[in-house]
Amino acid sequence: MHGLALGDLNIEVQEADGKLVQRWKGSSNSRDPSVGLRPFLELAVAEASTRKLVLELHFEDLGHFNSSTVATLLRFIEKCGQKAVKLVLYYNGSQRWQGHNFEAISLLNRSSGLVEVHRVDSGDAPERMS
Amino acid sequence: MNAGQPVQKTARFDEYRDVLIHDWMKILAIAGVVLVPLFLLLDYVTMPTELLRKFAAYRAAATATSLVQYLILRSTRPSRFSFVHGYVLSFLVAGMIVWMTVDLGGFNSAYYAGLMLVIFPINVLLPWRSFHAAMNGLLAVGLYVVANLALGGDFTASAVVNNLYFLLSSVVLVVALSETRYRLLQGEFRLRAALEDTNTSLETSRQDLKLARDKLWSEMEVAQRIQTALLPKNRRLGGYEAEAVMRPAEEVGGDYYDFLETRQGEHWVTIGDVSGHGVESGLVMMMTQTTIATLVNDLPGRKPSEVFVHTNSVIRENVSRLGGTRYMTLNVFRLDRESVTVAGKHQDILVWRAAADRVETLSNQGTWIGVVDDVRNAVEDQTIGVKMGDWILLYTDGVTEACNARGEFFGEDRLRKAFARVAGKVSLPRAVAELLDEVRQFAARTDDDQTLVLLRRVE
Repeated sequence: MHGLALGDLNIEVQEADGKLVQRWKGSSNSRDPSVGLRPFLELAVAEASTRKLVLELHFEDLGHFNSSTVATLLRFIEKCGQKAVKLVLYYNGSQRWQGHNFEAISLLNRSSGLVEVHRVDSGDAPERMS
Repeated sequence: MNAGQPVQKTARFDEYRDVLIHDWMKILAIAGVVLVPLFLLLDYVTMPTELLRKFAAYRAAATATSLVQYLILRSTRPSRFSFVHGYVLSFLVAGMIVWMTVDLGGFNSAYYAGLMLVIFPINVLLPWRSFHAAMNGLLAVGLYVVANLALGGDFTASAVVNNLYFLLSSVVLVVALSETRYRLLQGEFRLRAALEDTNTSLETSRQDLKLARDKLWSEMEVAQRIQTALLPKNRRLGGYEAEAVMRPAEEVGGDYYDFLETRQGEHWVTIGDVSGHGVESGLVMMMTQTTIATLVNDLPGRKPSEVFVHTNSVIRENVSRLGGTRYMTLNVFRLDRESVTVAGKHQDILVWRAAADRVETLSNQGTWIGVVDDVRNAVEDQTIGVKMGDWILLYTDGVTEACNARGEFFGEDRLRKAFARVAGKVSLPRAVAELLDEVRQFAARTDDDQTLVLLRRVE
């Protein structure tokens, strides 16, 4: 699977040890992520589901995302749940805006067990939240 | 492709050509009025004295008829018969010249050359078909031949051949020129028509764009109206003074806040942010406001977490029905005498402690509205003690994520410092205005709504 370059957003994709790893960089400020981001994420879910891969998304280096991106991510998380794809999210705890968003996401998905949200502070080892 | 278009274009070309013929005929008639009498000077120099009066009379008659023709052309509109004027003018002026050649002895007279001054300008200037050029030229030559054969004097064959050679050559030339010119005119018209069609198409596109823009503005106005119509007035809420300001973004974000005083005397404050922009966000905001207002009035003593959980059920259901993907960050506050209880997940809460002159940052644990059906396990009440004189600052991400030209966020640190500078030092309205002003000066542009809510315990 290839990465995605969409405006200021760059997503690098790697595959290793049964994981499909995405690293989000830059800013995701698109008013309508359904054009580029949603199909990209849906493809990732389909591939992970078919090949039984774990999806790992890293947001630590991301500068900013808007609420439309969060809405797209929420739908993506829902899709992962429907397809029984294990999802692991990493965020930068020293970025307050990331904390606000991922703290809420981790609580939303506490019950499913399919989504793990890890807080990574600069230089720290990942801390599991749910 | 419309089969009627070529026919329509041909009709448009004929009209265009008739207008040109009509206009050029006016110029030719004026030329006749000016040049025909002017040639009396040549007559004076070259003609026998006894013929001068006669020639002057001919010229006067031709000039008068040219003038009449000009007046007729001025008082009539171009039509498919406008070309007839070309024949009439040729007949009158060429007839005058022919009559002079007859008086001068027929084919032997050199005045036949004057006919070329009729044949050339009329057939070169009038944008008509080569057929008319041929007919018009032959009319002049025919008059010349018939009149001089019938009424002219003796002549030599060589003179006739010479004169007709030049005259007919002139006719051939004007026929070729007319045909060339007519084709050029048709080409020019096709280009003009294409340009006009393009202009019409551009105008239609411009109108369509204007309509689309008006529709978009209308939608944005509706969204803005929804967003601002329900905003409460700043006022006292029990033992708290409340002041808020919202600066909507150009494209209308989804910021929301409310001050509520229930029938039972409870006081509630809400602040939130619906994802996305536009009318749909506004609708979610409006549904949230209505749901919360109903819930807190319906049953006194509810906890903020209960209000949040019930609101989530309603909004989740309605967002699903709308087929949307909206979610909402929301904090629900109940103001009590010595504390404030909050539920939900929104931005951090800044509290300025009057006794210590210090700002505390309080994170709220919880989740969002509209994402999952049941949030009972994700939301709990959090109580914040509030002493007399303490200030509470609530805000939306449009404030902390306002970007300067270098792409830096305004951030919580700047907001906290700005809050510490104004809290307890100025009035609530002044404090809100100064905070917003600081954000405005920092930000290079306004991409999102900016909302600030200040509470101060005064009792």
